[in-house]
Amino acid sequence: MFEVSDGSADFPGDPFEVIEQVDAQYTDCGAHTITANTKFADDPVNPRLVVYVASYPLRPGPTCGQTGMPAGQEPYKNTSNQFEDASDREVEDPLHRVIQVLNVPLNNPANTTEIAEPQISYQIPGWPRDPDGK
Amino acid sequence: MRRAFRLLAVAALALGLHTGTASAKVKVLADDDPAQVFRMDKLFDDPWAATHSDFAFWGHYAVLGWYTATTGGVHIYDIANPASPQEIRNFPCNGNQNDPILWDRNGNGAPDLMLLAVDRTMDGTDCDAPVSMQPNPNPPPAQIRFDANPQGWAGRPGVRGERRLC
Repeated sequence: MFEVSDGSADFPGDPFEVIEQVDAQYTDCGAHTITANTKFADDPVNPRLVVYVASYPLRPGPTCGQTGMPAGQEPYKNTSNQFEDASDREVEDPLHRVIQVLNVPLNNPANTTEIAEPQISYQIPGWPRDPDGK
Repeated sequence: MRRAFRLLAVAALALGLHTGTASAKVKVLADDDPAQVFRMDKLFDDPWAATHSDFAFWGHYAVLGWYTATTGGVHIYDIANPASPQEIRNFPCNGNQNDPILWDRNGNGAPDLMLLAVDRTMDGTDCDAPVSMQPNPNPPPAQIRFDANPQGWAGRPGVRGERRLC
């Protein structure tokens, strides 16, 4: 989260002249792309952005995914991952299966918090499955 | 008033889209069908040799997230003249991917809040922290695998970044 100068008295400096990091929010599976829900941006009591965080299921991370596949299950092969050497492209269980949801208070973005971690996996029992089941 | 600035800038920025990202979906149109194609001319190429996969626009400002294997940042342009974008700043931030979100809290037409997405494990919470993207060369089998720096950011989740100028 960064506060940015915009040429006003509120945020002095020419637009983008000053970029100040005010917070960083750890999310278990990282943030590949982020999308802001602006429905509450003009809320008179608590103006805020609700940010949906999608991770990048290339490989397991320190707090995301795990190694070790069930017996008989082929490991996921990510042959296009430029950030791994060839011997490490055969990662196991890289699928994060969640998104994370952040609350960014517009009056104090340094108080950003994670408010939800909904599962998105097609493997959740009872949920519609991926048609090819893979 | 503020909502007027939420509109995307009408500018044809021809930039190096990296395939495989959610924001790089392209619909192929029939180039001989005037009902589908009305004009799209390339006006400008960002000269930087990096992956520019995620953009945010506000008014006449464009913020282009970029990254390489080891570093990244955002290129910030004034695109008031779409044929000749003026680079305002190249703000470095190792938080790779750098998918940006902009917001204008005081409604003056220029963004005053920026969010960037980080999809690599870093050694700290600040932009200048190194990226520890190389996995443990000898990962323990059948366990959660840590990246190269077990004391990195991932090793102390919940630590908030200090206020600092980047």
